[in-house]
Amino acid sequence: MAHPEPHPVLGRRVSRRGLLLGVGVAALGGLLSACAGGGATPTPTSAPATPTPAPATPTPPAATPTPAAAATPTVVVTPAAAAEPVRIGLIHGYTGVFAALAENLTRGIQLYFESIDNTVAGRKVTFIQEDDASNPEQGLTKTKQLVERDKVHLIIGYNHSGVALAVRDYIHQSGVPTIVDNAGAQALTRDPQRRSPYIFRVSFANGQYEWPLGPYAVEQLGYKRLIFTASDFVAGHEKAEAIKKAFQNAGGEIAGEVYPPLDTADFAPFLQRISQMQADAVWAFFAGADAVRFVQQYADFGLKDQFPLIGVGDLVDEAYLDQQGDAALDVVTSLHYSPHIDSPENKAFVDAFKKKYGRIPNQFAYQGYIAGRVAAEALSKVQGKVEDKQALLKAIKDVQFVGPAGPFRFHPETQNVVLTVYFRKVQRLPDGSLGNVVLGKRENVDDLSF
Amino acid sequence: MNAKSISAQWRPAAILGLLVLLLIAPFVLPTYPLSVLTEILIFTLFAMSLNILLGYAGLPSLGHSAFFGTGGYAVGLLAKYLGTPAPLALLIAVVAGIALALITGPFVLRTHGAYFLILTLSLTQVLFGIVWLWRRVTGGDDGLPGIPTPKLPFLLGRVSDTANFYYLTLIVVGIAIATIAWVVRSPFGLALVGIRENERYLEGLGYPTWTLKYVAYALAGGYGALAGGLFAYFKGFVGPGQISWLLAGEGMVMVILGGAGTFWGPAIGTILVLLLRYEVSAFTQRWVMILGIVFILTVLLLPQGIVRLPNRIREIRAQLRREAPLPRPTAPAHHTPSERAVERVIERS
Amino acid sequence: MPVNTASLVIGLSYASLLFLVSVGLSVVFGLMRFVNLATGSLYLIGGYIGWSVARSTGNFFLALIAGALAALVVGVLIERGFLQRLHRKELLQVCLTLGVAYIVQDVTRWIWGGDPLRLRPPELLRGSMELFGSVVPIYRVALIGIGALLAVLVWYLLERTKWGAYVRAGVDDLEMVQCLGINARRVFAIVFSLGALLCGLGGALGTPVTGVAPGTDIQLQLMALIVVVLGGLGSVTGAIVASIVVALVDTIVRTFWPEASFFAVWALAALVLIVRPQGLLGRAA
Repeated sequence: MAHPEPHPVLGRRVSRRGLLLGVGVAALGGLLSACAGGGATPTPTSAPATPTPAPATPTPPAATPTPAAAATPTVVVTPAAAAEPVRIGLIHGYTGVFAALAENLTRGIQLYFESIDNTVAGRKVTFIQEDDASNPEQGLTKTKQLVERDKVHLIIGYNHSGVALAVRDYIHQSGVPTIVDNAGAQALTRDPQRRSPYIFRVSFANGQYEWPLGPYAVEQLGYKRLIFTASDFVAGHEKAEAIKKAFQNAGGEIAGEVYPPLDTADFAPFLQRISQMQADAVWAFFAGADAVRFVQQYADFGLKDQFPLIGVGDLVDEAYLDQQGDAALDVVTSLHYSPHIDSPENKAFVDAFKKKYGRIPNQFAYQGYIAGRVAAEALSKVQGKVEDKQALLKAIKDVQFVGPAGPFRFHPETQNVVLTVYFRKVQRLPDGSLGNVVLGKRENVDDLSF
Repeated sequence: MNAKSISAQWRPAAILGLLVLLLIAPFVLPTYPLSVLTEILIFTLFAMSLNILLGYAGLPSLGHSAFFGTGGYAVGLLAKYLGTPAPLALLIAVVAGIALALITGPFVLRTHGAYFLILTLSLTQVLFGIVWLWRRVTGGDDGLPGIPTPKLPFLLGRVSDTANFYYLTLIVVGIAIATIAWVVRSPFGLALVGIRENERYLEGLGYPTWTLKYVAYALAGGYGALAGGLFAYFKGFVGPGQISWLLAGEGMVMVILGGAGTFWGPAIGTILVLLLRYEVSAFTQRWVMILGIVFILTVLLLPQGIVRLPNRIREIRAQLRREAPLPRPTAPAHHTPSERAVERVIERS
Repeated sequence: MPVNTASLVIGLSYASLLFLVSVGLSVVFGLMRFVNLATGSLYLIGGYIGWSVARSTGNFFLALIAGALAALVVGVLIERGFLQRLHRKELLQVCLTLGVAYIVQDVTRWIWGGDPLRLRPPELLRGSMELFGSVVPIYRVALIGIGALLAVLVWYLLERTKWGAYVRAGVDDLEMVQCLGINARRVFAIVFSLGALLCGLGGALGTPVTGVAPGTDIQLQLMALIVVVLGGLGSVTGAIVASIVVALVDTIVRTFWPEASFFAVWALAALVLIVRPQGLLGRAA
């Protein structure tokens, strides 16, 4: 039977192709001019891309970084050029699943730079913020935009491992100093083939703040048999592998492993599986919405009475504690930060953050803050002369200070942060809220220690 | 029709102009817009390959990213494990895409309409799951980084790397688009439109409609995989995001926004979506919302695609002149080109 | 490992949520072949509004009502504003509802931020209980009850009332129904709004289990699509059976083979469509 309204799914009238083509050509022209016109270029005439003679293939990192590839035109430092602001690209996944994380990282960075009036050695610092949507393809395009169009002197960003790995070769070739403030992919600093003299990481390598909990669980908490559970993606496995190894080396025994997929709406079936194992405790890594659900459902199904829950700090991040409520009580985790670290530097940071944003900083705000400070210290060390890239790279590498979580420095070989790892326990604070109270710490944990 | 003869006259000139613009682009554009243009070219091929299904054959696929990703992973795996040279790797990518289509075709073509949509989606999700979980080979969610970007040897040292790969893309995509143009204008292409309009009728005329759809599905798979292979080379890595159904959805949107079933519509849709994604997001974090609003406005105001904008403007002007609203904008002239296409098919038979 | 009471409770409570999310989509899909990719967004709206109302009033039941009504309002807007024009144009429907999903995603992130939020069950339904020797959260048991009740209600409405007969007739042959002088568009509008209402209610009811965060919409959207496909052409029975089948299969695979759970349900959906191109309980088109 024919429809009374026999409309096809699509438009029927194939249009007049010539006109269309005209539209296409016009659109293309528009695109070209739009692209060429947008963005602040330091020189009025956009320099035509000169052929890159040098690194055709990503060279293994030499002891001293090679001079910058031709993609970034070398700028002669004149007084006029020195007066223009330092341009820092901020690139995170501001939309999508990791939006909150990206926002906290950015808050931390901005908080630090505002504390120094966005000025380093008399030179203004401006930020160009780009959204990689935590999507590797978009991240690479946006990085190119920052480097080639906005001509940034420094990049701070990358909350997503996939994005960081995807842009690694491009950053290595274009030679823009880059400070990674969250992405934990191990290869980025641990793999000698994938390291780059241009890439620094102030946050962590996956496993770096996880593994110390292995020996701690055996020695301090008295757990001999652990069940390991983590989200089924590369970071989850990297973290779990690191602590499993350390735990076994300390004499522990693996009682079972469960890897639920990312974005698990309902953890109940996995919890059922766990509840039928025999162990002293459960170690878990989940982040974001998964962390909130897991901790809550773990309590709902009565598993907390069966096995104490230990794990990665992300599980009971300050941003979630309010939502998790009592379910999070007594969870012991390891992390490179806690807002309840007792030090004057940390108190100053927490107070400043609370004053500006009205909430307690979490690990991501801390990482952003550290990234901002590293950038600022290095910039002031070179007197704001970002054009001298070798000096800037060396200055970043040499940055050392005592920050909110203790001494900060980079490992000279991997250019990844050397951490102090804190063991924390969720407890009720005097004011009635929940907090990660510090039980102990392990200092000088670098990313080659596991 | 008067307008038609004018446009027919201008068509070769317009194509020529477009080609010249594309050829000189590397000399006038800085590297960043040039790389965006490269991406537009690749996604235009992707959208056009999907258009063979959506627009010409009327098969609403929400799983076209499976082919894109297959091409990408073929290139990535070959580069990583065997060091295969690019021309051969791209060829293998195309073969892999066609093979995937030939294997899944008999199953998906048993379904229709929304069921077709969801079956293609399901199969893509299964493929996504395999890639995600098979970490040892595919690198899981980190993907395979470090795919060396191929270069045209005769341009080495004469233009920048960005321009070199741009020309490579331009050549490959240009040839692919030309063959698509030839396919959709061939009797085969016209028969596809006939199937979209009235499959039973074509069947009654003795057309092997199932085989025609099967061939279209395989072709779309091959072109989709070619785009995916190029994309993997362009980005230097391949990851599960290149299989994700979200990419399939975006491809679908590109085709529909531009104008499904029209030849140049997908190209226009691609330009629009990518520019929104990359340019608007540089100004505001609210670009996701803007993208959504553009989708809705286009569907409401230009249901037949942006390609129809000139005609739509003319319609509205005519409407204003008459000062009497037309009954419905969606019920225009009876004698539409696609109907004519069906008639032409019928005449041939 | 035995499949115990707890597994069953888990599976069935998940099925309740899936049913609420997908029944509207399923009937609308059956009635108008309408593909709604904004179903997950309605869940998201129900969840967020429910969370806010619960937080400000402290009343869980007000939260449920508010969440359901908010989704209803958005559903009516979508239906009145856009969908009526897109009858039987699947591609345009996909494009438009995807646009709506993008906007909802962005607006909710704007208002509620990106951190995951979670609604606590009412005092009465907190904690766990013993049920045939297994510990199960009380709220899950309650969810099964609510889901079953609503399923019966919807089933009665569509299968036993005159109005339901119009809808079912519309599923079978829309043109015929229109020839009989029944305003099919109005029937469609009501079904769509009812579906949106249930979906929002599902969102508010579901937040104690799934929470709400960016991305929850996509998860639920995908699950709803699977349920709809398996359920076949817009039958309420189909949606009920499919919700239970999907939830139980999901639960069992997750319990026994956690790694495979990512694509197990998709493999199931693909398999069903390969074997029965018209869906599990669908009739040949």
